[in-house]
Amino acid sequence: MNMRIRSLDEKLYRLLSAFVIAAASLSSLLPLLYVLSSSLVTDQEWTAKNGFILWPSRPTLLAYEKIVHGSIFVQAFGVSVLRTVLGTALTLAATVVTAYVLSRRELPGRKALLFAVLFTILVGSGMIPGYLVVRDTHLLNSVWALVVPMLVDSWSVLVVKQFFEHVPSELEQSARIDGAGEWTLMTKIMLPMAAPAIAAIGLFTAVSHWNAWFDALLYINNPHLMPLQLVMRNMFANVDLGFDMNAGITSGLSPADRVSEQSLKMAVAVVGILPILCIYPFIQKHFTKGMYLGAVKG
Amino acid sequence: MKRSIARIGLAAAVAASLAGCASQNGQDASGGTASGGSSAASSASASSGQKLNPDDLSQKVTIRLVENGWFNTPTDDNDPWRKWIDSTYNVDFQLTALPASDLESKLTVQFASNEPPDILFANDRTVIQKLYRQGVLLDDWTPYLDLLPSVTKGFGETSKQYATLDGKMIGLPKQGSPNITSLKIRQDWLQKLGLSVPTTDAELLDVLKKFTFDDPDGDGKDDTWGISSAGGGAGVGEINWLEYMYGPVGFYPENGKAQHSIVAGTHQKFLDFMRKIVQEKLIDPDWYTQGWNQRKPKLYDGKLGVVVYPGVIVQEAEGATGNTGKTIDWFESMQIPKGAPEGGKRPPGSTSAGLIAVSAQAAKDPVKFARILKMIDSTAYPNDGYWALRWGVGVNGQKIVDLDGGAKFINLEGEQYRQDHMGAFDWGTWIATSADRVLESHNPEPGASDKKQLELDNAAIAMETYTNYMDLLTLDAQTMSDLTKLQNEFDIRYILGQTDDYEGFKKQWLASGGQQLLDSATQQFAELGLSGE
Repeated sequence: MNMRIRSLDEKLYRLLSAFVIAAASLSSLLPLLYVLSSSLVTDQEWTAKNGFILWPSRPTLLAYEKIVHGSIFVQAFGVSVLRTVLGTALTLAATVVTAYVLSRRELPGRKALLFAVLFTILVGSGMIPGYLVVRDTHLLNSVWALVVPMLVDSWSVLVVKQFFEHVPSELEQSARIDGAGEWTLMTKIMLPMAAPAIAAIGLFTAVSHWNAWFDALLYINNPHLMPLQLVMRNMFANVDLGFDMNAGITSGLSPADRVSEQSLKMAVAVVGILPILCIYPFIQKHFTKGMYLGAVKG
Repeated sequence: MKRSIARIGLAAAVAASLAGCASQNGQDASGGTASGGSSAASSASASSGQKLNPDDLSQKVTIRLVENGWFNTPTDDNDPWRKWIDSTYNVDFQLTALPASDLESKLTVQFASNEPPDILFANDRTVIQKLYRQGVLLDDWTPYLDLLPSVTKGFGETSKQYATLDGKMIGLPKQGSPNITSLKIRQDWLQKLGLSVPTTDAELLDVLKKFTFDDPDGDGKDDTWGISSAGGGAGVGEINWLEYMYGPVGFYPENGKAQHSIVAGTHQKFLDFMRKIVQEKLIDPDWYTQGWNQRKPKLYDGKLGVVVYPGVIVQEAEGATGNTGKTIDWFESMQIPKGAPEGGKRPPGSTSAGLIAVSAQAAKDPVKFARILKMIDSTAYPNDGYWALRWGVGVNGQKIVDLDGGAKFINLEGEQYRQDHMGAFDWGTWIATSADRVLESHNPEPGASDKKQLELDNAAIAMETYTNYMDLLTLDAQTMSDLTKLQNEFDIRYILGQTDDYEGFKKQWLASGGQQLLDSATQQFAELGLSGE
């Protein structure tokens, strides 16, 4: 009898859990689906229906055609990929090295260096001094202007430093006994132990680089070096063209050629998040591993 | 001890940061970008003013323009507009187009680092005013207006005042665009119900009643409304145009002082009219909450009798209904009905669509400055340079066809460069004006909807309008925002009958900053020589 009740309770519990998870998943997926479907709606359908359109009656890729039309998109996409890959790799390298050095208790002046790192979390350079530094170091109008200023993030350094500091000292000692130097210790002992943190920081850095546009606005004048987010932002910051330009200019287009501003904006959102969505599944395992690492002791 | 050292270190670091910023500002000031630099620029250009020869194009110069653009995307090395401008004016022209929200940041770092653009164009006059006050722009354009006959010919009634600050002309106003928006009324409904276009507020009320209750669309259903709006939940929406039935709206000069429609009673008459049409259910019930795009389905389903719209309503209606031609004769432009002796005119169009300015640094170079003057004047509407830079005539193979009524037509067929590189449109942003009356289309010639749109726009342009005094004023933005919020909150309560205390609202409006703004407006009108008598 008790086993039957437990079994019934268990079934009810599973049913309820499934329902809650399904509801949570739906509430997360629905906005994404809405963004995607809105990017496929024609101007005519927007005008006719407006409101919440979950799936267009005649989907069109016109919004994406408008975005990717011309060589500027491909060029800008390439710049974004370059800065993201280069920036993430170099930031991780700089962060790991800095964090490792700061985690060494025997480092002379460690507290002063830590203070210097902390200070930069509290006080930023400001727009004009930052520009002048980039200019005077001859980085303007180069991809390095987009990478070097973001090279070391103090918060990330502190997080990785914490991970390094919690590596058992016995591991370090036994590695040293086996003849490991600092580099071997860092790369073969510390780095694997901090993999979840580094994966997380790598993802945050990649997302930051992918989404960044303001630094490009300030430091880049060469149109061939504009990243994708800046190009798309510039393009669609002023989509209300019908009233800004000659009254006939958008109306002169036939309905088949007209794309609504809502579809354009949603297409911009899709193009913006798609690369990150593609990368995330490959590093998700590191996040879950990190969660379990904290839960299971001994 | 250690904590004290840490505190001292932190304080020293903060002080060093602030000192760095301050010394940077000091360098800016001594770097010739403060007012001392500006007066140096004006004396140099004033002294070179007698030597300026805009027609001498022998020396090649580099000119950089930073502007508010439309598309703000770069073009490539094959850009025909760049080739045209470089060869026509013997320049190396560099165009940077930015959204309005980013222009100020870009200009700030460029001026602060002593690498300013030569020409700048901003839709928002306050951007130019801010830079001018820092002394980094040409001090006064007045001595050079004789060298800009095409530009000055396009000046409107209040253009010079718009560009004036502290008695000096700080920039050149871009020619404003005529206001092509007007009330639009279903003329097929008028015909069906045997009505005339209303010319007074009482006649308008009668028409709205008949549009709502007399089944003007003949479908046997009670599904039409006389009028609508798209308040978006924030205010009454564009139906506030009806306030012009009773007089000018906003700040205006009257008998040597500034007046405002809220204080003058105009606003109350409008609210009373609104209350009537809401109570009698003559207005679309979603008028206050729906946005502009949300209202479109009702509009293009043919449920609304009167709206405020530009002539493009024809194109949109046709597009929404499958381009069958059935909606072409739906709407006619209608003047604001008269509800008071001083009422019955359309709201004004913009005095100017922005300001063109020149950096003090560029103005110090007589060759460069002369070239800039040449470019600005020869590309002003309606010169050949305007048609080239704005529309590609003589640049990209475009041809202009004259239409009836002074309008012009350009066929986009074969115009591939700008379709692939939309940033090329931004060559014309800083000079564009819809006074050129150009209609662009993919059709080889204007279709019925194109012609109807032009007809509606021409009718709107021909209507009498009030003078745009608001564009001439620089009023405290925070106070304006607070008063707008106060007004919006009161308006809906009054319209819905939740309050009748207009006098109390008026007192509150004045006490909350309205009086302060009236005093400031009075002073500014006096400085501009506008007495309103």
